[in-house]
Amino acid sequence: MEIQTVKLRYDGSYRVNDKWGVPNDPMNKDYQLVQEWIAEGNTPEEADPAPE
Amino acid sequence: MSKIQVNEIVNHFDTGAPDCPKGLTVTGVTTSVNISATNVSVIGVSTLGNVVVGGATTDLVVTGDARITGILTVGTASVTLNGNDGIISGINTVNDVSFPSTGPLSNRNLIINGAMNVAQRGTSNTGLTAGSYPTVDRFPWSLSSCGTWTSTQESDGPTGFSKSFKMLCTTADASPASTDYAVLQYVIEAQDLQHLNYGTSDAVPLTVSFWVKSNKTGNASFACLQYDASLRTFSKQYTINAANTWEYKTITIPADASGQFDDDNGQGLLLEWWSNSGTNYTSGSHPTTWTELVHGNRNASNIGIGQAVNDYFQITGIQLEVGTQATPFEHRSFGDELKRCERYFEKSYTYASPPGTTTSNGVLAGRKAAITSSLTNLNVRFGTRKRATPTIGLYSPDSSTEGLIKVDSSDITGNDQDTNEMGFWISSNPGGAANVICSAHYTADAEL
Repeated sequence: MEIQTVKLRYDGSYRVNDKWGVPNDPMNKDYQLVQEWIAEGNTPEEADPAPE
Repeated sequence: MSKIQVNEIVNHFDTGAPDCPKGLTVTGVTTSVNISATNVSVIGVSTLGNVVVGGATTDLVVTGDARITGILTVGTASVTLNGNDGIISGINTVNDVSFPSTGPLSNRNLIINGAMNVAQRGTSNTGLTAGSYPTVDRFPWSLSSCGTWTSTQESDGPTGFSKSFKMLCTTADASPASTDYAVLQYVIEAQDLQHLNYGTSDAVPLTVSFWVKSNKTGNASFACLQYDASLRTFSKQYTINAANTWEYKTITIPADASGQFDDDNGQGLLLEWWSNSGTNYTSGSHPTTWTELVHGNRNASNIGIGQAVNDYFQITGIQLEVGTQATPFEHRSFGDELKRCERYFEKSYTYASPPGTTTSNGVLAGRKAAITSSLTNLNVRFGTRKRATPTIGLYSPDSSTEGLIKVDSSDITGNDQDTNEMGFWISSNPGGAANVICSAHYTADAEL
């Protein structure tokens, strides 16, 4: 997965490239990629409110 | 002690050899002796050659029952039969079939989908310029600026195999930059490697075997790394001898008393079959034991598949097992392999439909709440519990675009919610109309 955009979700997970739901789970390989992306100085977009 | 010196001893009828009803003891004989009797003790003879019991002429023939109260050693390969402990050891082949040197007789293969039978993501994937799981399950093609490739699950294999995994180069990289690479990989979950006892004096060796085919011949690299031991590395050279020909290869991986596999669901052991790379991975040499990470050792024998258009690397029948002996491939049923693969990847589509296929077959469908809401009433329970919380891909049944679901007749953004190893539910954003039908496909990816 090549990361272009990351948006936080209300539960701490991420929506990546406006396509994929990446969980807040250190054992998930895509979560690890998001953390590397953040460590490179990138910042995720703010989360939308929780669904009603 | 008295001494008898005669030329001949006969029975008292002078018709033949003497009868010895209480047995006969012969000592001090160092060369051949012919004895025919019951209750015979031979003492002081270190080597018996051409011992004939019962009148036969081969080296040793016992026409009745026989018993050896000690350990029988046969030949020079240390094949021993220990009747006291019920142990037979040193046997490598039975009825022309190789036998494990240690470990179980079933469930020997630590590789899932080693026969390349399962391909949930599809059987063909073109234009690959970055790493991915392109076709067959559990086998990623790791790629960094090293050409363009087409991946296929081929209906071609050596005897006994109907499928194989093929990577075909469509844009070559004749001179890879130092950091470029193209390599087939496989990762084993750490908790599935505890029985190897790495990090202890009881660590056991492994043997990997596989069938490989390529248009290129020469030396190539196989490598493996331990994630939980600072990427301790072992690599070894194998040779592709003939072009466009299936060849069987075996490589023994030594035990590592200094290694480590955490007892968890994370990455444990990485296996690599190198195709092409730059000098960062080729500058070293192949060690004879596990060593601290040296990237240059990983592809010290760079065969260079991908340095010309139409180069290809094809492989199947991958087996990794405990011990130093490669045994015949342990074929498992398609259903068994598919279930094992689903711990790492699952989809709602029918098996033959790759994710993104425009189809309603297998789609989740439900009616949204009667109020304007983002709740879709689409709840997913995975067919197989996942290794870890998976990455979720959502698709409208009318579109190949990821991240969308169908609400009424429109495709709008969908999100997985409360995702865990067992399932999730789907929300729509914006909510869209209420009290309408909504539907979606999904993929759940928990690969290592």
